[in-house]
Amino acid sequence: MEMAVSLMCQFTAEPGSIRGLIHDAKAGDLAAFEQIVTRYERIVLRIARRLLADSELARDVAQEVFLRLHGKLGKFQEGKDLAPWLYRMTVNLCHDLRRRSKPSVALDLAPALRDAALDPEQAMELLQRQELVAAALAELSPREREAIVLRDLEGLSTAEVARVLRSSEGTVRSQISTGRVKIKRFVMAQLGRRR
Amino acid sequence: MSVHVSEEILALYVRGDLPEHDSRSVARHVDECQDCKQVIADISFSYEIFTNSLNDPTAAELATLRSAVMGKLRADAAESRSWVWLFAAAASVLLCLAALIWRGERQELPPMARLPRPGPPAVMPPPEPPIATPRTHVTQAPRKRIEPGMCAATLITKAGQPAYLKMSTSDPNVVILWQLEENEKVATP
Ligand SMILES: [Zn+2]
Repeated sequence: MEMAVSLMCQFTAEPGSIRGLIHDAKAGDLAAFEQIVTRYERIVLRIARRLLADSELARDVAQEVFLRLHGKLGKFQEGKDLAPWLYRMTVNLCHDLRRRSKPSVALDLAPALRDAALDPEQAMELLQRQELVAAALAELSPREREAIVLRDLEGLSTAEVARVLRSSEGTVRSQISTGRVKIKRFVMAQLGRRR
Repeated sequence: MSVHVSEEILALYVRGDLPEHDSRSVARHVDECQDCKQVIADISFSYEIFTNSLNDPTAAELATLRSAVMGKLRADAAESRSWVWLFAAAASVLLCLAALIWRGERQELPPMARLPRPGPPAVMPPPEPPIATPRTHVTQAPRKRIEPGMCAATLITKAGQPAYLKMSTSDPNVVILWQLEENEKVATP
């Protein structure tokens, strides 16, 4: 979460350095485009994974996001931050994919656990918590899930979330509120701590 | 004690998503209400579990993604370059073929085909000479040098016979005799 917020600050604070990369990438410099990918890949893949709950599909979506970015580079102003466009494209592609396929219930957690250096007890605890979160996310409607992922997991402001989802702040606030209450009720029910 | 604040409002209050004015009035209520304090504690607890349990993508996953994206873009770039070369090669071959065909056509043209064509009269054999030799009256146009493509014409008239127009062409082997109409017979003097 803190990392997400710091990444956001980094994106909005450094539009100047991205300017040269976009300029070079527009001119066909693939190495410059690779640096753009490196800069934004974490945030795109993370959002896709949280929205889709499937590592393979999330990687496919993230790949498609960057290929589309490359195809549309000519339309970007060189000093402009790419993050809002990337958020919107990632959310839209995940939304389309979920509409076409069956809703998945749990996050694919294996890669994160495989790569984390944890002892069996810690791994089991993490797995249980991640399964809990994934199941809680599955309780939300697609729009609630998008609003919660962008606001609570990526740390965007309500106004920024509204811009990404092309919605009003009031609607987004309502989706965030409903989502948080659903998550709270689900987590409390699972952990046996009812009000 | 006033009516409790709804869970939905408290869920916004916890993360500072309420407008300033609403937030102040919720704070005043929560300060004095244990039930609402408990709801806020539960929301905060579930929020902590929710936000801290999901890992970021690992370096290996990011490298796989980047490699897939750049691999596709490099393959596309190589393919488009090879199409450019293929197109250029095909265009060169077509140009060479067109040049060869054009030269071939020029060489096959007969020399006469490039000369201006003479007029429409048909080539006719010379007329049978008459049995009795009548007096022949020949009107000859002044001789001129025959340039290529030009004709020199001579009107040949015999009493009682149709008149002929004898035309020489630039080719000494070709002589054109043009028989005039029947009513154009030369009157016997
Ligand atoms: Zn209360």
